[in-house]
Amino acid sequence: MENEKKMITLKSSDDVTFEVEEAVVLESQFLSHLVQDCPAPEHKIKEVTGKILSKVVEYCEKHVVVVVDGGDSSSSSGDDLKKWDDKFIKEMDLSTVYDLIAAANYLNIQALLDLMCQRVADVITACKDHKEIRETLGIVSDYTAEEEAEVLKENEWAFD
Amino acid sequence: MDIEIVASAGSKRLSEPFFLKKVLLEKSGDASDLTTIATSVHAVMLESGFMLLKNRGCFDKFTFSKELFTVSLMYTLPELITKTTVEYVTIRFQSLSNTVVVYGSLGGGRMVQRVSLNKYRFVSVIDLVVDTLKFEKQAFCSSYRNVFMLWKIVKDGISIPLSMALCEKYGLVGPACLMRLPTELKLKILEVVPGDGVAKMACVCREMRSLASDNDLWKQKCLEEAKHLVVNRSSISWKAEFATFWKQRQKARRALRSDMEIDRSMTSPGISAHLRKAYRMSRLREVLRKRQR
Repeated sequence: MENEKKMITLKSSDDVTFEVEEAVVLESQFLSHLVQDCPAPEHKIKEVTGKILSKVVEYCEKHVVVVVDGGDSSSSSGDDLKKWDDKFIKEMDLSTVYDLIAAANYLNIQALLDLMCQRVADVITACKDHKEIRETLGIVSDYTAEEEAEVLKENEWAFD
Repeated sequence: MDIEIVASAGSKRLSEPFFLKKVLLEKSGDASDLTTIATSVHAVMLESGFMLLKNRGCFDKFTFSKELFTVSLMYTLPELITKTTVEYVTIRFQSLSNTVVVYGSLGGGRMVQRVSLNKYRFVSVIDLVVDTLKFEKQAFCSSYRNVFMLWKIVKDGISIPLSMALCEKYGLVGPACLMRLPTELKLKILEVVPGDGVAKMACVCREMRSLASDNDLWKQKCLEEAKHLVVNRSSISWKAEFATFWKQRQKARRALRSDMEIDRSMTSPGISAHLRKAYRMSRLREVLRKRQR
């Protein structure tokens, strides 16, 4: 019953190639449709760079392994996976997080998209006020002084 | 056997630790802490799309011997090099006893970004990468994890904000940022931010204000955070309901906090945490009951 694992090659927009098992590809709804519809050995993903695709592959490989192993001891491996996820996002700069959000959305990998959105939400939640949010997320205010005073008054309850 | 760490004809991307090793081998001219940290920050700048500007022979190896306490490097983006005057950013390193403080500023000193890097935390892992990292597969092993931390700190604190500022000034497409995500993804993020955070987001800029005023979004916040909220009017502003709930909750919390201080001063240190928790719970119930009346 030793089945040879089917390997698939993914190629990023900047021609970086990744050879992954088919199970890894199935984590992405977009890629699983692509692989089904077009049985070529190599798939070019024009919308994702090598840098981001390497993170996507790292995430999917980890999640495939744990799901497969998790058949007998699901709770402990679930904890491990959560720990791994925490580390994965903790060590990631925000610019990469945004790229991964866009990539996870495009490739339709729901769990990765949720994880990354939660990461940004946590960063926002940790900020004490709107100024800190602007600084941390690099957002430039387009409010006039009057508008800003108005919006602050409207939301002053949240700063309590 | 010679260890080849140059990317094999562009078909593979170097992981951060490997890229760091490559830059360090090429660029660091001595083993001082300042040189090691500065060269690592240089690696992050390169990976963020910057290029080093020729100043004071910096195309040689970096040798920032221990006597020198501050060092500056100038960078620009390749896209800007054709302009008649080159806009640059300055990275200044200041070596203190335990840390290296890194300042990043736009040409004329506008917008100063700052991070401080602990020497003990990062120099050892950088040395470890140079001495022991041999294969790409090892790059993700736990002993090198601090490299990713260093990378993240420098990118979030220095290189990405500078790159964004430069790109905005010259109308270039900058690094990925929240505001450039599609609307549905920004909304998706707001969906997982707690209510008070959403209100703060509204104060950030006009677009966020409009996204953060969605009535369905506030309905969801009420259902999640203010479960006991009873609403009997048909047309309501869920945000206003949430704000009322929030104000009451903060008031109750303040009352509880001052109670707890009295509680702490009255009880002996021997009282178990369990009892204290029970007391807190009964106080909380009382406050909630008062409010419902």
